[in-house]
Amino acid sequence: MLAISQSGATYNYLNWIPSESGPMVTHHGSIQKELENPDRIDEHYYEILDEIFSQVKNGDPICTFSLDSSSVLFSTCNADNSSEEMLNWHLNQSRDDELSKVMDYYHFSFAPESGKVLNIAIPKTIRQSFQTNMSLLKSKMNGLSVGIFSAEVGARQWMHAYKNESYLIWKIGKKKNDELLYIHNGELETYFSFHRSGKKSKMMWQFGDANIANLIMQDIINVQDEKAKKFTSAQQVYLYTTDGNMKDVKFFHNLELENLSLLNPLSVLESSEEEKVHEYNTLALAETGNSFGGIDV
Amino acid sequence: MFSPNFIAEPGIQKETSDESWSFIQNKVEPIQEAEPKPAVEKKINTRAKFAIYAWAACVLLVITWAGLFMNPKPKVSPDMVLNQVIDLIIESGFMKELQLSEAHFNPDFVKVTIKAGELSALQNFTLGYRKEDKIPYEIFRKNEINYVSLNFPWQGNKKGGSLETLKFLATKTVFSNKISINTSGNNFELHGRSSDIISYLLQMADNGLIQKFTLSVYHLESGQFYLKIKANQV
Repeated sequence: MLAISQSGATYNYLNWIPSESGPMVTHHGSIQKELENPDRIDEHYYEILDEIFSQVKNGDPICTFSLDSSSVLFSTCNADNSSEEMLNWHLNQSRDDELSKVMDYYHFSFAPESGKVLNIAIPKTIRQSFQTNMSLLKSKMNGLSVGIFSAEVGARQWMHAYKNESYLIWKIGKKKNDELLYIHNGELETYFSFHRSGKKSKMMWQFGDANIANLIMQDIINVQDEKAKKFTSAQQVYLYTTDGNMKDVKFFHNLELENLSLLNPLSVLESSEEEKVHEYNTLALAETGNSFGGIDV
Repeated sequence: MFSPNFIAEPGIQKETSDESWSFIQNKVEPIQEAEPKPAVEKKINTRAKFAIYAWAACVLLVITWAGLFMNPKPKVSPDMVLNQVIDLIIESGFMKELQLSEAHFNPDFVKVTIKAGELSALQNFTLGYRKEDKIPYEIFRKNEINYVSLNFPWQGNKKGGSLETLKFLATKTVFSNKISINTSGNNFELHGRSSDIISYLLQMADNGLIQKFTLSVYHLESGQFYLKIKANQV
């Protein structure tokens, strides 16, 4: 199974096979490719898939893909997910008709008591390009996810994050613009981004429970300022980055906090070859997590 | 906690989705002749035995004759034929030596014509997997251009397709800004890029419509593609 994740113009891949002791990694790496013509996005993804397939030489290629979060649109509305009629009414009030012609909307429930729904809109051209490319490459795609949501699946499968009452997926971003997912009792409570810069810290955008998001933000600032020796807002925190912001990752990791772990699949999965894994440089593979949904690790 | 999977149909989502897009091809296998059932042993008299031997000899002769003059027809799925035509449309986009000329989806066969400047390109093409699939083909030359014409088995006589369905499907498909759509009588016509034609054909296949219409794909001199669809009469 080939797991591919996109971060800007970088495409990270990890190939694994089932073994008696769980998934075993056979290849991992990355390729770079800029999107030259947005009108030809299908050809762009074709070339990426073809190049990675040829590097891995996997027989029947079965893959998953995780998009860069900039490829999709996020929004929220106060609607009970169980009522499609109510949800459609809310969406009709807020959704742009022209946008609906080019985007496919997916609706996911936050924790039920919040009465909120997270909407993710993906361009129809991207969905169609993957479908067409699977046909051209005579391949199978088992999952198409996005950014930190794919990493969250990885945390559940690789690190058994679901055993914690609450956990936080923390993606360190460029210029200290971080992205976070907070899960409590197996339900998403908040998804937000904040600029992490001491006294100048501020919320960039936020979906779900705003109070919890503010608590988490303050908790991280306290840890960063070395005023606290563990995170108090979540039982466990999983940290990763995809764009090479290693300085901040190393800083937090070197604090040796008792409830902070690096979200790196290579630190958990067996490998077919003896190799020294660089625990920081391979963190971008965290977003290949959707390949492991439902797999015992 | 939910796990997004955008392969699923848009709308309200369950926590997990097992939806996938699969185009992994199974190998084409010829239809197996049914094995003859073992003869029931009976006590019969000499005349009856002679009649049975004579009958068996006739059957053996017919089978031998059929074996000499007929090849078993390969079992080819509609998905495989459509995938081959789509492959050829795409390959025409970046391979200079081989170009799809036209493809006609008739009620009982699909005729695909490919052209090439060099005969060797066509010979190499027919030596590939298409020969393994035992698809009958014909190579010919016309006006200094070499052609190969392949006949794929097809069942395109299903009823139920209408012009309105085709128009509705066009509203669901995302096209480039280089397309034009015309409808007249029983005909639906689409001019556009190769990606437009592929997107529309895949939409038709997804909706189980591809075998309900008679359709033709033409690769024009301009590099554009032209899809003409005729609704089957109910």
